[in-house]
Amino acid sequence: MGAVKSPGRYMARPEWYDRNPASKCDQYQNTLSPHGQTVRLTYTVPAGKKAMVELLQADVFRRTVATTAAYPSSSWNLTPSGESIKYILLSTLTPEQNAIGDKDYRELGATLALFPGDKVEGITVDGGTGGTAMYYLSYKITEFDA
Amino acid sequence: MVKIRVKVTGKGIEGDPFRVNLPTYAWIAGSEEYADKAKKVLKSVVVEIPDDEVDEKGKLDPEKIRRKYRDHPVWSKFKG
Repeated sequence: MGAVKSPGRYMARPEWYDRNPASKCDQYQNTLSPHGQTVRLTYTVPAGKKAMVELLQADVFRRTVATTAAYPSSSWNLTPSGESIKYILLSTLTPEQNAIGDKDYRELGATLALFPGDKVEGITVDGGTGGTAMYYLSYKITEFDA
Repeated sequence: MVKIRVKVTGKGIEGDPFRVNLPTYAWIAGSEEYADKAKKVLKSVVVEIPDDEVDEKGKLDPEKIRRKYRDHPVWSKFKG
């Protein structure tokens, strides 16, 4: 049998979700004709904080048929502080998916830890001509003391 | 969150997307103002930004952003 340890003189560090947590949640939804690449949502981790991404969603839904279909898409990318952009989640329709109601839906399959200065961005784009698509982007993040 | 109208930068292409020069924002759908509507060149948009990045009058406060993101290579030098 090992020695009995005395009850804690030292306080264990609280778990991340108990370190002054704050929920950060937002969404973008709109039906759009073809358009250039546009950053609709951005979240950057402040200094002295970390963040846990609990949900990223990206959705694209054909509303009216395109004259020349391309790849309408909504996506999420991650830019670690001081590094280059990385695409991490892409929801897109192919040119063959040009019928009303064609859709694609993606969501983040794992929790993502972000560090000070890291940034996530939700983007929409459609390089086709004519027609419209509905785009949906959303996130839920818990920010906490680093 | 506070709503403000801000200038849109970028060319709408990969590597230089249309965007707002702020670290955290949510684009308000349908609030776009165009420099050239036919060519879909954006001029400004209304975005929501965190409460702690504006002054008491609800205007963007560059000093608060510099402090909040003080270690960031870009936002620590933000001029508004």
